[in-house]
Amino acid sequence: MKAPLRPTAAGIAALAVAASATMALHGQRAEAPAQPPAAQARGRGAPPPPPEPQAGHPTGKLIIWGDVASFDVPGTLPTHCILTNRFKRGQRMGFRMTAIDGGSGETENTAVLVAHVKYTGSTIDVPMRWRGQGGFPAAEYPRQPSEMWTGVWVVPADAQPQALSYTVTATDRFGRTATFSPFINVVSQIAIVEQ
Amino acid sequence: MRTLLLILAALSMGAFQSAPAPPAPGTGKLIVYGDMALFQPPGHPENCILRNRFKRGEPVGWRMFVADPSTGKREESAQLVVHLNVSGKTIDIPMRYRATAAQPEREFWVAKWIVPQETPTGIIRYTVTATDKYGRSGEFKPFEVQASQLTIVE
Repeated sequence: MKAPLRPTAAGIAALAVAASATMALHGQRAEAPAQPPAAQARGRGAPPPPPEPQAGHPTGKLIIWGDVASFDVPGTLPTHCILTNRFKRGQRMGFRMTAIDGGSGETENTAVLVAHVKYTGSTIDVPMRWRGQGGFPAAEYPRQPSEMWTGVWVVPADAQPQALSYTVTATDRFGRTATFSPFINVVSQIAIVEQ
Repeated sequence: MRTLLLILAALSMGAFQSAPAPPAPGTGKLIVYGDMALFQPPGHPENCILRNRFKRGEPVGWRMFVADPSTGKREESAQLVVHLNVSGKTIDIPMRYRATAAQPEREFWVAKWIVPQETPTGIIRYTVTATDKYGRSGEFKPFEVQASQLTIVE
């Protein structure tokens, strides 16, 4: 006698993966929920607790977007936080993103974002930090950057000049996911340069 | 048969989960986002590199995307305008949709502004607004970080 049929967790998960549609468009595509990145030591102490869900969320799609900038330190350097997609060895490649609850148009502050850099045949995951908590110098940030997530990857000292690619994925506490890809122009992609 | 039953059971269970309720089509705010780049002519080695600091005479370029808030997909009917605040005056620059029959993959809007010679150095604030055929609108503002703003330099 066969055991009664029950929907197993594995079966449901497989179905969810099979049913997830990929939309061919710039920037956003739906995919199976990604696992949140493991907590990593960032030299800033224990991460703060996740924020409470906001009223009215979730509605619509989770949408993420952003850019890349030089995260040279200290912040007094003239190249700190300027937009660029060309980086030298040792330079701090900065990813700046935001996550939007599509229905309300508000920041989805429960989102967990990870940048994925394709480098020498492997993928480097760069966890991103929500900037909505903590004090920031008013001279640099005229208001609290509560809509921004940031992540940093330091270009290895032995890196060869080359074009790279990256994406950013996000998952929020409601199980919504999103993927961001930069505009497709080749020269706009992140690149490692000699000078 | 067993597989089919599993699928049906899983679908049935999924119907009771609290999936996010998308707004009705045509409602909500458009999501507008993009970046800024040097818009030199095609073939120029620095064409389309990301920049926020420009000298007088250089071409500032904007590339924008408009997403429907309920689907995340591009809103084809959107019309976008860049609004620059230069010396207290607002300059409106309509954006054009970049994709063509020859380059259908370029699903974004672009606009270019050549920095006039008389433009003072310093930060120039800008926003980008979008409207669509459903009467929806949206606005893009760059990240509020001083060093990342559109800046005219010597």
